[in-house]
Amino acid sequence: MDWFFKEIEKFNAELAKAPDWLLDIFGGSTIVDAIVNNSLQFFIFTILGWLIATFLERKHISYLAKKEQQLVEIKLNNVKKIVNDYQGDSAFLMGSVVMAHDYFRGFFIVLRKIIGGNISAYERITQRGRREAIIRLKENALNQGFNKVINVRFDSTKVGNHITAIEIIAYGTGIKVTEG
Amino acid sequence: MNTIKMSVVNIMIITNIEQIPGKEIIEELGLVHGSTVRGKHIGKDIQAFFKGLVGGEIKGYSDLLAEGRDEAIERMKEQAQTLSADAIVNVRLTTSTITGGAAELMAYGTAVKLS
Repeated sequence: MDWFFKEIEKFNAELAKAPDWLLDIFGGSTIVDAIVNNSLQFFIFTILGWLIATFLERKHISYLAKKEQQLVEIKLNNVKKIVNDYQGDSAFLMGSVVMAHDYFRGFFIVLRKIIGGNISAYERITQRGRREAIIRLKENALNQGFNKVINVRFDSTKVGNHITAIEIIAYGTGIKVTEG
Repeated sequence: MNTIKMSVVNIMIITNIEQIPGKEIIEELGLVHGSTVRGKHIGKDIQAFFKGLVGGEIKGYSDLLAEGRDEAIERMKEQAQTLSADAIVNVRLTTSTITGGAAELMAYGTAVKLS
């Protein structure tokens, strides 16, 4: 381990020659200072992100519950046959959403993957995304004057370049039925 | 010319069941499909990265993929129109990630002629 401490001392000696503005960016005048300062900032940053994310998630879930109550009269099924009496036109309807988990939960996911089991951070975004996609599908149906969507299918894909995001889509055929 | 074509495409009925409710299928014209590959520009990627810090819906990606899907359906309708079809039945949608920054959106179905 001697070489390691020697390297650190050499690095600190180099750092002493650096201008002040560079040290400000680096986070301290020695390497240990920099690590402590930067990880403190990082810690505060992720905690803040986590708090905001939890708040937004709760807000979204209450929004979903409210919307589901409003759109309860639009029925969905996934059979191809039309059982009830229908009238008028039919149309292809879609609803889609891209959801991402927050940065902080990424660490839990990494830890969770070591021992396996349910990854609740992913479960949450897929469940929220699927509810949102259904709501958008139902809203499209309502806007076009349909009260039933038959043969509903789901599809999902991973998207995103540097973040883990999932796209969830729900699609079906909108029809108008006289009852139920 | 273009507007006429657009209006013809827009009246085409599409469903994802094997029939058109209230209408009768007299002829099957074959499989039609439309696809598009969408990439996000770097601004959207940066925006998505910052939105990714707190999680939730990534609006930039949602809109982009929805637009792409509409375009794929539009291309499918155009192909059906060249076969002089009236409707497309049993439509399916698929999406796949090509690389980190691009997704292929595809729609396919069977073009039919109505009575």
